[in-house]
Amino acid sequence: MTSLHLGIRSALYYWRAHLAAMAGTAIAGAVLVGALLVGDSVSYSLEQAALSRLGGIHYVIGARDRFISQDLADRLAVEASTQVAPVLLLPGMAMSVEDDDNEPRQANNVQVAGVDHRFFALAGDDGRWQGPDDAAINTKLAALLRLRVGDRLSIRVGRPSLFPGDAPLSSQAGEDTVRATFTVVSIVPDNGLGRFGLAANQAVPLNVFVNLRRLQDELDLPGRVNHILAGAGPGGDQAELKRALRNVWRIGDIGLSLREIAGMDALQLESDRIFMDPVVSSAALDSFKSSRTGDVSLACGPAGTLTYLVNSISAGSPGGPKSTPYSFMEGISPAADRSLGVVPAGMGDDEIIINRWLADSLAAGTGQTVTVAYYELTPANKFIEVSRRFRVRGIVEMSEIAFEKDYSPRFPGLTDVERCAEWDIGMPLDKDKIEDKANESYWSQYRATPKAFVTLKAGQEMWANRFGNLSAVRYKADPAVRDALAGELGRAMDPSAVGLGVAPVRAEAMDAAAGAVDFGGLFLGMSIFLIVAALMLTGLMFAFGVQQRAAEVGILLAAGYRPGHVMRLLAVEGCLTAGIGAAVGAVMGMAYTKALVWGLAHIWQGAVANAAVQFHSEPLTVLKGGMACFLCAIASMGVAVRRQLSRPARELLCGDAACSEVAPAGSGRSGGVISVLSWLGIAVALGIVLYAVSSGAQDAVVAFFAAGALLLVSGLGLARELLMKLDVAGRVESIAALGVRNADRRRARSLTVVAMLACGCFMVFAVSAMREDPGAAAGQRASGTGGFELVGESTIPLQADLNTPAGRKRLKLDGEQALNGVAVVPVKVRDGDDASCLNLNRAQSPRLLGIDPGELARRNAFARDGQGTNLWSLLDERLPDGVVPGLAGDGNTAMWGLKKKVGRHDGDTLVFQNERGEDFRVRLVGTLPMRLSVFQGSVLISHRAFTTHYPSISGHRMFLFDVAPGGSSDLIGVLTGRLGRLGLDLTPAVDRLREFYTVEATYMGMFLVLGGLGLLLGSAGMGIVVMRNIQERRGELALLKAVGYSDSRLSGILLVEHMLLLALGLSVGLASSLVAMWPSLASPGVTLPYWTMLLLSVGIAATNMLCIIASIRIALHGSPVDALRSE
Amino acid sequence: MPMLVLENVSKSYRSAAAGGLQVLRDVSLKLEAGQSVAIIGPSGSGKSTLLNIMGTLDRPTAGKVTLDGKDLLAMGDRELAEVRNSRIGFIFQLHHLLPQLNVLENVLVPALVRSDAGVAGRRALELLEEVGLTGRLCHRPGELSGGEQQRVAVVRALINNPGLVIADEPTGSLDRVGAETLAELLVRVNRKHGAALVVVTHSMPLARRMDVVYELRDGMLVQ
Repeated sequence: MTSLHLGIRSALYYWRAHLAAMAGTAIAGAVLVGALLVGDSVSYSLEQAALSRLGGIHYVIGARDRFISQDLADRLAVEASTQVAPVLLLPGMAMSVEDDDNEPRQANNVQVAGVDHRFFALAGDDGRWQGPDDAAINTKLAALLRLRVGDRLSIRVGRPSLFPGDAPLSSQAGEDTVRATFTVVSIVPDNGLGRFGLAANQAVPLNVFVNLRRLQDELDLPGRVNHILAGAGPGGDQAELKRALRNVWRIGDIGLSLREIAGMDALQLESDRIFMDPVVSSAALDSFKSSRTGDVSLACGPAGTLTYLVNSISAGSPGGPKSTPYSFMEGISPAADRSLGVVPAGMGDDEIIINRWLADSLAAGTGQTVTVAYYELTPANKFIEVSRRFRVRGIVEMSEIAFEKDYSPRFPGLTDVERCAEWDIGMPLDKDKIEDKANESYWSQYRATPKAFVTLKAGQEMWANRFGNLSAVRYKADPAVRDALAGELGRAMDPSAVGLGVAPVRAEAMDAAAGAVDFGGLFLGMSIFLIVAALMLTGLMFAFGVQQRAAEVGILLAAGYRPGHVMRLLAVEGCLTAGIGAAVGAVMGMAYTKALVWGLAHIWQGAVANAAVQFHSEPLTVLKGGMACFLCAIASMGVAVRRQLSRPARELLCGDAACSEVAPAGSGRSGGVISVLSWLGIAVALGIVLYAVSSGAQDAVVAFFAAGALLLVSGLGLARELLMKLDVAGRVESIAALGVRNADRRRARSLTVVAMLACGCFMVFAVSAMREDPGAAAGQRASGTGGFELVGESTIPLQADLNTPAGRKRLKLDGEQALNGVAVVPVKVRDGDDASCLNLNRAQSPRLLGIDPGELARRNAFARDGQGTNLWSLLDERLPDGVVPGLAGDGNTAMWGLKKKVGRHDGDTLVFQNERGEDFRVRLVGTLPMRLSVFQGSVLISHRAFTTHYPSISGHRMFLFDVAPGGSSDLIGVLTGRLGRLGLDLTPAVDRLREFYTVEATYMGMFLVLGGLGLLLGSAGMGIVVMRNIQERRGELALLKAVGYSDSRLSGILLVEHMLLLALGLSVGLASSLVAMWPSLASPGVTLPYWTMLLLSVGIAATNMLCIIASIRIALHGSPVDALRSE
Repeated sequence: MPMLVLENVSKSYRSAAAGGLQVLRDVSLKLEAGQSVAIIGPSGSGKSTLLNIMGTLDRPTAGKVTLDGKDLLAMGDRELAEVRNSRIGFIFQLHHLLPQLNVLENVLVPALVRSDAGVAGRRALELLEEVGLTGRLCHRPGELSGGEQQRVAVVRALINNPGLVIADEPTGSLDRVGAETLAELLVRVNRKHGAALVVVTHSMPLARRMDVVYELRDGMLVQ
C-alpha cells in the first residue's frame, strides 16, 4: 500500500461525503467553462461574419472620396496574377416604388455597390451577373422595404464630383443627388455576400448591388471607381500587391493628365480635382530639375502655377477709387523662358505684373501699388476676405499672354459658362459687382486669362488650401514626349501617397474579430460571484467531510505523519473529487453555454448588438476551463482543510471536533492586528473618497470602487471583531444572547458565510445602483446629449449651412416656421469602424468626427460646469510631429470600444489613413466626461485637422440641434420630409443615449441574473452551514431539550445565531456597495434605486431566512434521547 | 540510562474566566526500557495530558522531557513526528481505525511514512498472527468486534518496533472478557518486544499487571 493508494481508498470510501464538494466543483466548472465557451462562440461568430462579408477579398485599394480609373483593375489583375474587381461604393438611400400592394418605403444609410461579374467571382458568389437594369439586394434590405424578386427599386446617391465640393471655386450648380430605378432580380442571403462591407462591424449593412457601368453613367463618372478589391494572389502578401501596383499604375488613374498647349511646344499637367496635392506638386516640380530625366528632355525647368479668382484688384489701398471685381490671377514659378509664364526670374514676392487691360482699367503704372482682395477658406468652410498689396513690376500686353487663355484651369461652373453672371461657385459673390459691364466684356473677350501675375510663392501664400497648392505644372517639352513624361511622373510618385493605398482588409477584419469584446472575460466577470460561491461551497463541503474524520487525521499525526504528509493524502482525495467534479462541470458547461447562447439570441440580444451568435466550442478552452476549475477547487479545499490540519493531534483524537475547535471566548491570535488593519482600511477608504471628491479626479469611478472594495474587506474584519466581542462570558441573560454567543463558536465558518453574503450583496447592489435613466438629465449641457434636443445624420452630406438664411434657401427650407429659433452644430464625418458598444469587433480605425470646438465650448456642451472651454480647447492644441489631438466620444468608447488610455500628455495614439493614403496619428488627449454620449463610438477632432486630412469630404453629415421647447416634432417632420432625398434621419438625442444604454442595461441584467444565482448558491451554503452547526451540537441541543427547552426556543436560539450572520453580511455588503457606486449615483440621471435595493435586500434576507428555518426544522427533527445516547 | 525521563513537568491552561488552570505540577518520572507503568487517577486529574506530553502530542508549560536521552522539548514538529513514528506507539480507547482500510492496511498505516514497507509488511503479518488475527487480514474495522479492533490498534502501535508504547484507557470500551484479553496481550507484548509500556487506566486489574503503578492526585504523581 502506498500513500496514493491510501488516498484513493479514502476517496472511494467517503465518496458520499465528497459528493457535495463534487457538486460544488461541477457547478463552478460549468459556469467557468460556459463563460469561456461563450467567448469562443462570439469570437467564432464574428470571425465567420467577417469572412462572409469579405468573401475572397483580401485587399482594398483606394478611398471612398477619390475616384480612380477602372482600367487599373485590369492591369493589376494581370501583373499581380490575382482576382481583382473594380467597384463604385457609395452611401445612398433605397426606396421601394409605390404600387398597388405597397406604400413607398425608404431606407437610409444603404451601401450602393456598382459592381460587375468580377466582384461576384471574387466574393465567391458566381452567377449573379446583372444587366443594366438589374439590382441584387440583401435580405435585410428586402425585409425592410418589403421587396421581392421582380419588384422595382429606386436608389438615390449623392452626385460625386471629381472636384471636391468644399474646394474654393467648386460649382454648386445642379442636382446634388442622382436617382435611378432598377428591378430586383436577386435577394442575397445575409450570411454570405449580403453581408458585404469593408467596415469591421458584425451588423449586416443594407446592401444594393447594381451594374457598375449603369451606375457610372448615372453619376457621369465613366470609367471611374473608388475602390479596387483584390484577392490573395499567388504570393498572398501585401508587399507583392504593392509592387504590382507600382509597376502598372499611371498618372491618369488618379485623374492627372498632360495637356498639349497648342503652338507652344509645352505640356501642362492638370488634375481633374483642379488643385494638386502637395505630394503630386512636389513630384511634378522636383523630379525635373535637370534638363534630362529618364527619356524626357526639357528645354527648361517646369513651372508650377496656382490660378485663383480674386474678389477685387484695386489701385492703391483696398476699395480704392479704381477697382475691378472678380478677376483671375496667377501665381507662377519665375522663369527665364517666358513661353511658360510672364513672371521673370528674380521677381519679388511683393511684386505684380498686370496685363494691359487691368493697367488701363486701374490707370496703374509700373511702380504703383495695387491691392488684391481674395477669399481665404477656413477649416469650417467659411470664406474670409483678406487683402495683400503689391508693387507693379511691369505691364504685359494682351498679345503676350494670349496663350494663358488655354493654360487656365477648367473650373466647372466657372470657365465653362458664357457670362460672369452665370458663374456658379461655392464662394459668396456680390451680385452687383458680378454684373460689372467692363468685367463682362473682359470675360467675353479673354475668358479666364489672368489679369495679374505674381510669383508662385506669393500665390501659394495667398491661395494654397487644404485641397492643394498648385493648379497646374507646365513643361517646355515636345508634345511627342507626353507618354514618356507621364511615365516619369508616375515613377516619381508613390501610389500609396496619392490615394492608391493598399489596405489589408481581411487581416484587419480578423484582427478586429480577434480583438473583439472579450465575451469570455465578460461572462467570467459577470459569473465570478457564482463561481466563487460554488468554490466556497466546495471548500466548505470538503472541510465538513474532513472534520467528520478528525480522529483519523489525529491518528495519522500521532503515528508520526507530518501535517504536510496528511495534506498530501487529503490532496489525493481532493484531486479525485475536484477532477471528477471539474470533468462533469466541463460537460455541463457545454450545455450551459448553449443555454447562454440561446439567452443571447432571445433575452439578451442587446448585449451582442443583435448579432447572430452560434455555439462553438474549442476543446482547448474546455480543457483550460476544466483545469482552472480543478485548480481553484483544490485551492479552495486546501484553504478549507488547512485550519483542520493545524489543530493538534490530541484535539483531533478526542473525537469531539465540535468542542475542541471552538475558539476561546473573545480570543483570536491575530485579533488585534486584524482589528487595527480593519480600522486602518476604513480610514484609507475614507481618505480615497475625500481625495477623489476634493481633487475631482478623472478616475473617480475607479477610486470609489477601490474604496468600496476596501470597505468590504475592512467590514469583514470588523464583523470578526464584533463576533469576538459578543462572545464574552457572563453576558448570557436571554435566549437571544445565547444565540448571539453561539455565532462565534465557529468563527471561521461564520465569517465564511458573512463574507459570501457580503460579497454577493456588494456586487448585486453595486450593479443595481448603476442602472440609470439616460433621459433624466438629458436637457442639461453636462449630460451625454450635450443639452441638444435632436441628433441628425444624413446619408449624403448637406453642403449648405442650416443656420443661415442662404443655406436654408439652398435647401429649400426658407420660410419654414419649424426652423425658427433652431441652432445647428454641424459635424463632419469620416466613416470608420464603430467603436460604440453596438459593435462587438474591436474598432481598428474608428469613425472620425470633425467638430468646431468653439461652437461646443460656447455652449459649454458635454462639459461639467464651466469646464467647456478647457475641454474643447484641447482639440485646438498644437502637438509635436503633426499629431492631431482627439477626444474619445465618451468614457465607454475609450475604455471598451477603443481600449485606449486617454490623457493630455500620455494618451494613446491611433493611426488613421488620410484620403491621400498617408498615415497620421491622433492622440486621445481626453474623453467627454460621461459614460454615454451621442458621440459614442467616434473620435472627435477639430474641423481644422479634419479638413486637412480629408479635404475631399465636403459638407456635413451629422447635426446637433438646439430646439425651442416643444418644437422637436415639427422640426423632425419638416427636415425628414424636405431632406429625405439626402437621407436625413433625426432622432431625439435622448433616444440615441437609450440605444447605447440598452447594451449596458442588458449587461447589468445578465449580471444580476448570474449574481442572483450566486446569491442563491450562497443561501444554500448558509442552509448547509446551519444544518452542520446543528448536527455538531445535537447533543447539546438534546440536552437543552431534555432540560425543558421547547423546539421553538431552540429554533429561536439558532435563528438569532444565524440571523446575526445574515445581518452582518447584508450590512457590510450594502454599506460598501454604496461607497463604490457613489460616482454613478452622483451622475446626472442617476438616482439611488431605493426600491430595487430594498427589494433585493428583502429578497436576499427572505431567501436566507427560508434556508435557515428549513435547515433548523430538518435538523431538530428526531429524538433527543438518541442524540444524548450518541454523545 | 532511563529511556524516558520527565523532570518537574508542569502544565497549565489559560482560562479567561478563572485566570488559569494548573493540570500538572512538578511531575517527575523515569521509565526504563521494557518497564511497564500504570497511571491511575480520577477523571480530570491530568492523566491524558501527561500521556500526551510523554507521546509528544503536547508540550508542558515547564519542566523537561527526554526520550533516549534526547530533549523532546528542543525538537521541532518535524523531528517530533519522526520520533513518534519511529519510537512511540499509541493505543487509544476508541482505537481510531481507518474504516476505509482493512486490518492489514490499518496496521501498515504508520509504516507508510517509512521506506521499509517490505519489512513492515512481514512484521505486520507476524504481529497479526501473534494476536490471532491472521484470519481477519482483509476485514474492515466495521466487520470486527471491539476486542479485535483494539488488538489491531495494538499491532498498529507496534508495527514500527517502538521503544515506548502509550495506551490511553485501552480497555475502556471493552467488556470484562475483552478487557482481560487485551491486558494479557499488552503484558505479553511488553515482555516479548521489550517496549516500555505506559498505560493510563481506571481499571485496577489492568494497573496491577504493570511493574509500577502511579496515581495522579491534584496534578502530582505519587507512587
